[in-house]
Amino acid sequence: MYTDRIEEYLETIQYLTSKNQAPAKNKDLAEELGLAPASVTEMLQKLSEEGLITYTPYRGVELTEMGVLQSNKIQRKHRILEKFFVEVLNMDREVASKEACILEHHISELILESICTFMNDSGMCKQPPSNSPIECPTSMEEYIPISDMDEGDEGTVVMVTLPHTVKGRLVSLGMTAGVQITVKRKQKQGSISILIRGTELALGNEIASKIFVSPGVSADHRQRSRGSHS
Amino acid sequence: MRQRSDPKYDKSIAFVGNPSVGKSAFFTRVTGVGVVVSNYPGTTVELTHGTIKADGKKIDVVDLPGIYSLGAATEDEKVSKRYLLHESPDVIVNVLDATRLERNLYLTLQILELDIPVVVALNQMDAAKEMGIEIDVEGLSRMLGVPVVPTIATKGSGLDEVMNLAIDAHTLSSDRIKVRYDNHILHATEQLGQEFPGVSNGVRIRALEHDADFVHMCCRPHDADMLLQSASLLAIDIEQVHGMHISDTLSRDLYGEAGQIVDGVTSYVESRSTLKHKIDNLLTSEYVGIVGLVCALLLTFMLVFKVGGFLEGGIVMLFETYLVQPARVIMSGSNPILENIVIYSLLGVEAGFAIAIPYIGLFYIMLSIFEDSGYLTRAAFLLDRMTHKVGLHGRAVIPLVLGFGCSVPAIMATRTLNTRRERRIASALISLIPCSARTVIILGLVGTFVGYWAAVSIYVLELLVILVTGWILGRGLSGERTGLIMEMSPLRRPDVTATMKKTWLRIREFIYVAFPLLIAGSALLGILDAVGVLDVFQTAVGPFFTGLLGLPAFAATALVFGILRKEMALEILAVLAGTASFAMVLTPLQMYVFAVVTTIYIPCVATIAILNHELGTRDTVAISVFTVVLALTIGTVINHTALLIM
Repeated sequence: MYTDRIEEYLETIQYLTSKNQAPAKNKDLAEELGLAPASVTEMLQKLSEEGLITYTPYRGVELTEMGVLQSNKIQRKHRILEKFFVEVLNMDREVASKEACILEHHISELILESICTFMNDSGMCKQPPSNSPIECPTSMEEYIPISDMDEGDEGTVVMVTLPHTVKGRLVSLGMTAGVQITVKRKQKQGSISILIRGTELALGNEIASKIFVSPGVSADHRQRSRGSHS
Repeated sequence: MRQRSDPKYDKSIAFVGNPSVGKSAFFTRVTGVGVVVSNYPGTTVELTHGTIKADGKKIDVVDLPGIYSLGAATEDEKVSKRYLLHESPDVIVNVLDATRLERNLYLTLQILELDIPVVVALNQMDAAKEMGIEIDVEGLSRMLGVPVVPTIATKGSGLDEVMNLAIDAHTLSSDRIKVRYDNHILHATEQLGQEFPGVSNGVRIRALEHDADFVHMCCRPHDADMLLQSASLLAIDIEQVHGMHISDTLSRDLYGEAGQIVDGVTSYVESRSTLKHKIDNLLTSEYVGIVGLVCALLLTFMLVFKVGGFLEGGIVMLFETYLVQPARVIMSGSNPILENIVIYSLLGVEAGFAIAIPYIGLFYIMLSIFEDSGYLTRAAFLLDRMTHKVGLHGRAVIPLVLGFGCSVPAIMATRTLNTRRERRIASALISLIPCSARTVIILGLVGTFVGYWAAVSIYVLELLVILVTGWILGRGLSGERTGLIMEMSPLRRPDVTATMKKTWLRIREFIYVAFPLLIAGSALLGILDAVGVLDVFQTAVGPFFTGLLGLPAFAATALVFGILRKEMALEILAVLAGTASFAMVLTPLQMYVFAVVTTIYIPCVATIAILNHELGTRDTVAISVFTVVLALTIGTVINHTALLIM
């Protein structure tokens, strides 16, 4: 997970410097990353040693040319993945961006280029659109299927990966993206029942495992997880 | 574009609403015509018509199966959709459940897009009050732009007002709510409206969603194709802009509107029914729930057998003394064919009453209580995992349980299942479930003359047969597989009058379906018997029968009668054996084999008829042949194994 951390630092520094048009402050960086300033300082020293950033005490940090290159590489990965998720997999843009935030650190060039070929869109892959900065939330809560929730858990539905007819049935029972649900009862490996729009809905395990929620928080809370919208 | 419905009537009013909102109770109150009311989704499986007269006008009132939206998926939902679009009623009475307003409004908003006058009945106001929900009825009416009347259908309050408003409703009000769809959608529907004037907004929206079924139902074929074509071009653009499926955009906007309405008209005071929550949690907890379910089922069967058996004896005695015996006396000496026709028909009616009233009646009383209290959906929830082993999901529990009463309504109830695959599996299994008629044989023959545990072992055997069959069908049958998606009915105290009414209606339904068959079949057998066909059959099949099953030849004839009604096999056996004390003419093994074969082999005539109606000839023949082969095989195995051991 070490490269993960480095890439995350680079991205955040780029985000902060472009936002403030000034070197990123140590304190701001710690806040964005949700870490203690001391551990940030330690990491920044390492990055500086590797020649990715220039660190001026009391002024802040900036990316070196090499740092910018590396950061751009990740951003390119992010954009291609996001585009793939939205256009080919029909995912919601916000969800796609979030998933790209996780995958961007792990995906190889080989897979990335294969995606480009598959999408038949080499132009985008050479020069990904860079109209807005990408932001990834630092502490990523992953989307989980309803079947993984426990009694009393709350969540916001983000995506349903079921065939069209089944999805239509769920929609008519109130299941749409963005709706708030609470798990009322759950059987071991069995069916689960949820409270949704004032009604109680029983779902079999095979259905519940295909409905994904953002756990624990309400919709307005969700706005905080910074997405990269155009 | 719209056809007038039946010209015999001055007006037609359709009742539309979500399942289990009290729609049928409402309808029954209004028309006095019997429909079955239920607290689990999907009992009103066919259209029920009633007639009311008001101001010298004859009005056709129709109760549609409950639907959640106009994009219907199950068989009974399609029936509703087809009626609304094809027959186009003059007025719609939309029944809403005040305790689940937001979800109910989703359908309401869709209905309001059809150009049909609507009156909204806001039902379950008592339950809403109990839950601490307060609704500003006038505000709701203002927002929707149609009349809204608070009602309590089970008590009859508010019903007259709803009907008066519906009868007087003629024109569409102009201030009817318009859903604030996304701008692109609004623009597209406007454009479609210019191209296709006279098509309601609802149809345009559904065309954008590319619901070809829907559009074809309400437009001429050519227009429908043109409309769909234009709409799909617009839809592609909209989907590109939004980056999401157009259905998702539409449902988001509809629910958004519904949510805003609910926020505007409801307020919550503290609810006080925590006891209900505790009971509810207990009923569906892992262990207590299952134990409770088993107890509830055992109790039901105990009650049905004890009380039912007692009542049956009384009914048979009454019939024998006052009808059959006098008839025998009167008919003796007349033409033997005529005599047989009369006597056999009377016997058919006798057996019909002896089964229908004590067993089916009592069973349905218990079932109604389970349904109306909301317990049945909880049972379905609990059993979801188990039913998966037989290729079904939990919702199928409802028709399967019905099967213990009578296969006919049980097979009709499979219409609420989502796919044809599920309906086929469920129907095949229902044909094997020991219905109350088969129970009579198991208990009357084996239970009485062989022993209690022997009778129980037949049930266990049956259960095994059902499980294995289900397991094989679940593996082997192709088709779409879905999972459990079921709304849990709220827990409610069952109403005594509603329960009795429902039971009566179900008995009546059974009488309507089964009695003509019983009488005709019995008479036919009477003729066959009188002209000697049965003797020929007996001589031909007898040896084969004795060899395989070890049963006397006349038992074969009894089995033929059993096709008419299962329990008739036992009665005929008594007639042919010349005594009802079977222990004198049959060995315990013979009785056991006879009971096993009768319970499994070929469904009765009424079941065959309904199977044919629901699934088609191929499946019916397959099920019939399968059960006959299965019964003979199992019977032979039991007979020969027992003979070897003994």
